[in-house]
Amino acid sequence: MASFLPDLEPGPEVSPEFERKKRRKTEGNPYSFHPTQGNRRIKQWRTQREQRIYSSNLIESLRRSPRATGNYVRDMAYRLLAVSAKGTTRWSRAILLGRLAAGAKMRKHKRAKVGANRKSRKPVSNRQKRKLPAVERKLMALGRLVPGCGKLPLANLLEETSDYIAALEMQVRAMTAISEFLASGGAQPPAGRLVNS
Amino acid sequence: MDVTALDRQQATYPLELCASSVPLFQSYLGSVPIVELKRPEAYLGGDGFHEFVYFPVGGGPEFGDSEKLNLVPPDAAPDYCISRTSSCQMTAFHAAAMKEEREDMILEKMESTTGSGSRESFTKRKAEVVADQKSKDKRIKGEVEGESEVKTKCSTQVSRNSSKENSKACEVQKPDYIHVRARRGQATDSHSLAERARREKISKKMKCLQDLVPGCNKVTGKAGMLDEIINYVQSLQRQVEFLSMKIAALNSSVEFNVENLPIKEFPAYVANFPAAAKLPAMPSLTCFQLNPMQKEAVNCMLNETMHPPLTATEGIASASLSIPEQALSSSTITQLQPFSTWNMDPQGLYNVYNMGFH
Repeated sequence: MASFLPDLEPGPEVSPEFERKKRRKTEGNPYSFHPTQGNRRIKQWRTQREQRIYSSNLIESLRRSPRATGNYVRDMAYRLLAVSAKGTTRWSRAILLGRLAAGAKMRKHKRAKVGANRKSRKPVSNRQKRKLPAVERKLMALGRLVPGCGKLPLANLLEETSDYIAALEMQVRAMTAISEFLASGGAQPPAGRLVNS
Repeated sequence: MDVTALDRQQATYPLELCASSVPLFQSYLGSVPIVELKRPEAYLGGDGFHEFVYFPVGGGPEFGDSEKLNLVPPDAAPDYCISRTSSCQMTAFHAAAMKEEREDMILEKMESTTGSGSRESFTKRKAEVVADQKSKDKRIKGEVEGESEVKTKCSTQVSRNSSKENSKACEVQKPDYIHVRARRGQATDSHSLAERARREKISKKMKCLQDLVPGCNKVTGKAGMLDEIINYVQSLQRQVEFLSMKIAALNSSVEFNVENLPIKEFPAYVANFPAAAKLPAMPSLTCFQLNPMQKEAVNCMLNETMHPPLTATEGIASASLSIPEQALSSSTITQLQPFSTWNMDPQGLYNVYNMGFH
């Protein structure tokens, strides 16, 4: 375990600076630097360091917890991913603030949705109108997929999505490496993790 | 159409102000030898310069301010970073953009009249002018009200080219305001400019997403791309779920050392997973095959069979059937020769398999 604990020290040095910069800039112009910062953020997800940190955190949490159901592992994985995002993005904040809250809200929304569907099915002529903003529907679907981005305007949603996709890719890579590592019996050092795009 | 544009200009720009700005402009250009800069009134009636636009009302005092002309490299000078601003600023910078274009026009005209001899100096001056325009942006704020009636059509090819080149230098300088060039034949309304800026921002983000999502290059249009993005996100999420299940299984197997899992459970266990579900069978297979060579065989067989998509049960069956072959091929072949009959009976194959390793 200690053999693959990454050097976590460089991490905190970079992130506070980054956050300070972001805070300063967002005060003045919320979107003036977003192209560069978003790209930087996305590139960070691809670094080896992030993946190492994430996978070591995940392994550690798995070892600590006695139960290992699939759902538990999945929730833990998402929470760790949100932690790695350091709360700079909306989806990470939504994950951290609670899946429980989201679950309660979903039940409320489900009841509301059923009622709305009944209303919308009655007028047949409106069906055409409902389908026309196809792009809008897809945007809503995308908003539902990305946690915490239900009702975001297009630009923000696209940004969140790109960050979320980068993070998910990192997560998949890390978890694949972890599963290979566990399958091999823990004998070999997880060298596969370091192979990155 | 040009005449009406000219009429509008004449209405908004009293001639005396233009006249006052001309000498300033001349001093601005400084040591440019070509003083063929005719007075702007001359451009009014001329057919060749019908698209020429005048300096704005508030142009005069600003030129006076620009004592220092720092030479900025042309590629960094005009900076068209798109950022969100209030509408008030928008008109200011819309006006600045207009000014820049007009100066470009002037410079262009001067170039054409004077020939290509001093083109480098012109481009430099153009860069300076533009850079200075940018640096004076904040001072323009005061004159927003005066310039809010600016509704002229700026149609230059120069501006289009320069906006294309200069969009690269977007992130270099600190952009507090939107710099958008109105292209030929497009409205220069503040609303439409803001709308265009927003659209460009969105298209930039879509391009960024396109790089992330594989296979997005073939699809064009927002709807198709959104479809691809949605599919990709869903597939990633499914992968995460699947991997989490697998890790949970591996974890439990490593921790509790379950080695006596009956084979009957495997199809049911695996049937819950999507197509690439042969992998969870791997830990259970490795559990009942203690021989390291057998493990290798299993691993490489499963890796081979992973690429063509198979259903869960098929995968198990094929893996179990092909393992003996692989194991036999990897092991010494001399042992196989006595086995002349290759009955495909699974029981028989398993017997062969077991016998091959004793």
